[in-house]
Amino acid sequence: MPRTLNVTRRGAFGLLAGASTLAIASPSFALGGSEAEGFITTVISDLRGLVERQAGSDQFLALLEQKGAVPQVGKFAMARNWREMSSGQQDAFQAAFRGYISRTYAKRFGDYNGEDIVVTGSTDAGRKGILVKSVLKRPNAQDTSVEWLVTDRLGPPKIADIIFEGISLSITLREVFGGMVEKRNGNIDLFIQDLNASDGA
Amino acid sequence: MKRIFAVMAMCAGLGVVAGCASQPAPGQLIADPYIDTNRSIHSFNKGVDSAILKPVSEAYDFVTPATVKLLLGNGLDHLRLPGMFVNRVLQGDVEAAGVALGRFSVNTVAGAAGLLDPATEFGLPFETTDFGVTLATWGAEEGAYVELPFFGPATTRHAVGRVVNFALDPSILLTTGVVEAGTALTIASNARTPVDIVNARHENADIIDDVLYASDDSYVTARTGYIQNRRRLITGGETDTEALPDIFE
Repeated sequence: MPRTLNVTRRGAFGLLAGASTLAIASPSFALGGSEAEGFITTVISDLRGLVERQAGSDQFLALLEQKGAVPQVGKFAMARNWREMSSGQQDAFQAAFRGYISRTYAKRFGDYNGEDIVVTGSTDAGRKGILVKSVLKRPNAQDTSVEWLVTDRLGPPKIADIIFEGISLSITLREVFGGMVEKRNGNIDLFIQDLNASDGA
Repeated sequence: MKRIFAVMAMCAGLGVVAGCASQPAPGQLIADPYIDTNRSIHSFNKGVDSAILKPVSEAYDFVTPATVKLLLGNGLDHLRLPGMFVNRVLQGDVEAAGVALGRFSVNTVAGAAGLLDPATEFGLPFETTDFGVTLATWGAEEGAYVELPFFGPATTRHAVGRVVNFALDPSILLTTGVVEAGTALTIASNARTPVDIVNARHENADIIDDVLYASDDSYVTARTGYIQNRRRLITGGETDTEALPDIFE
């Protein structure tokens, strides 16, 4: 006997909620190239604003936390060590990581004088997101390629990685942190303490 | 140290292709099975840098007028072009081979034997390549990470490439005395390698100082920077989406 779909008001609400959950996970609703490019264009102009106002590292951190997937990058950078860590250590690491990454960016963008960063296009990187390509133009120097991996897996678009001339920040952090933990014979607390003291990558 | 050379020689003997493929563990950028040996070579290299290379290149920077440094840099790049042309041909990249040849001709004739660089303006830019890249285009496996004494970071494939690349450079005919040239030319040819090294140290001073002296673990920082940079050279400057991190993995 064929069952007819009996849609009650509550049922309809459930269906709708289910559909919107699906929409987040389904690739057909995924972030498009032009949307990702627009997002990065905004990030670049925000960044230029910070440089012009000569903002400190706390303001870089605010921008970074708003636009970047900071805790996810932190977890990724800890790789296999993450699962070995207690939840207290994970929290302490994330706090240290936020400071570390904002010092890194304040330092990296310290030489940046608000020159043109021009978005030049984007490539679909599948479930990893959209790779937005941009070029940093400086007088009397070669153009520098800066690429931004934008993910929508957290809902709104977030930066998952920044790649300078082919050097991925997330991968470099993962390698460097792995080396730091190994050098300290796996002592996570010591590593977190030193991360707090470090002036960035 | 002996062991690493034995391994490299073995890889070379096997043609690199099949024998020494080492896969990196998941969550690792490159396989590093010789890490202990590599680390001792790294401290040796760092010692050489701080004792000799860094002070010499800084002295060179201090005493040499900017124009001379620019001309010398151009000249050294120019001398690499014949070897690069051979590699482009071996890679089967006719267009890039043409660029290398065109650039060499233009700058030899119109650029004061390569000291000036009108070719870049004519759309013939300097795009580096070497025999390690050629091996990659032939399908040779990248191999494991090795740090070479004096030369620094490499993969087993790049290490083999370095040796062959040296032999592919036409100036070897002068250095080994196969071709008799004037004494001045032979001396100049012999002096080229040390000058090249000092110039390269000078041109990349900021990044080298950063990696060697401002990072927590210069060995790991050099390894990750080198590998990513090298892979980009092999893909021709394009970012491979396969190599992008999946931060949710």
